[in-house]
Amino acid sequence: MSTPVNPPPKMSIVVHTPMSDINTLIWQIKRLHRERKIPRHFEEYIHPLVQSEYVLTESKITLLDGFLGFYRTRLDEPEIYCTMVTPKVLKNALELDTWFDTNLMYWWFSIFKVRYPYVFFYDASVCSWWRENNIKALEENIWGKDGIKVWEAKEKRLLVFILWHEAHFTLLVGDTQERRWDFYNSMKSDRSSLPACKEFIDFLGKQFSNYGWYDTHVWPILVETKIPYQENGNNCGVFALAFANHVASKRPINFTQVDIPYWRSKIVVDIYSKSWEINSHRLPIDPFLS
Amino acid sequence: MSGVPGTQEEEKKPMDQSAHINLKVKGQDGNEVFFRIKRSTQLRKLMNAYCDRQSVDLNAIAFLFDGRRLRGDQTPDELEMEEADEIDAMLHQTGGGHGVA
Repeated sequence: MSTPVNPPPKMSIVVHTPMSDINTLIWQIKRLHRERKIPRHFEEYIHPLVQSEYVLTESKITLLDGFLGFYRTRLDEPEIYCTMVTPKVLKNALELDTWFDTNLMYWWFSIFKVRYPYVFFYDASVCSWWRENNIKALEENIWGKDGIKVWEAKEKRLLVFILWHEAHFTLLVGDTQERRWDFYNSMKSDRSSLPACKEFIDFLGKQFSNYGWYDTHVWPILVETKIPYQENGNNCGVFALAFANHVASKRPINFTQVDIPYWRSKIVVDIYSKSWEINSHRLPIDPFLS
Repeated sequence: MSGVPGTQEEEKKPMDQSAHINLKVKGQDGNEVFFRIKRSTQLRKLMNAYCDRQSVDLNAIAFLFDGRRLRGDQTPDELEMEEADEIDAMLHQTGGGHGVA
């Protein structure tokens, strides 16, 4: 004889789950194994063994596929509408050993900054202009006529600077509410970028104080250490942009060196698709090469 | 009556002139190159001409006007450029990692 099973109680118990637990659960789900569909000729740009949350969407893969197709067969067409960054530079940026340049970085910032109105993205070249003492370019980009850029920056929550020192890009982020500088350096062994960063902050402090913003040069500098580091000498620009993307979107940084092909592809496809959007009326062709 | 054709001619002249614009492109070395282009012409023409003339690679150079980088599809009209405005031509900085230059 089997013993009768007690019916479940009619009262249900509601357990309040704190938001932090929910966030943890979301991250666990996001990290689950996913199938990656990659076109064969695109495989060379993707690390074959990685399971990562950094995966291109289907539409981005199709767009990238289209770009590579055009590049191989009808280069004259992308040359017409790739007016931000030339097709050759975009194609090279997909290669894992290609160095990024400040022009490509500028245009990528210009595309995604519209989503983050609380962030002031400075031209990626301001640091090198400071080194070259190019006052005109600095004036137009850092303080502006009558200090208009300083007033604009003061209203933002974050100030994002790409720093450049001895062929190495790092990221400097100013938090105007916390009154703090965050420094992101993807090269663990590098000891010279931080002193250079301090010099740059002193320079900024002097310029900002001319227009009534007196304290930026005394903000503490927090050197971020819980970040991924590059494992070769080619990807500092990609790391700096990826850090900037996470900082602006307030996402935790979970990528590593193996996700660099993702970032390279994402940056290229973002610039390519925006170029297409701007110039789509000029050519009656489809960016999705079938 | 005789004054009418003259007036029309006078009106035409400034119209023709205003269709074109003289622009100066200044390199980082201080060299200046002058261009005269139509206001409705895409700046890519000027950029290509400058790079050809200076023997520099278009892939390695950026053109800035009023602190903003220019796209090849933009026109002087679109950017509200004025006569004798200056465009700066600047080389990109590249980087890969410290100590590997």
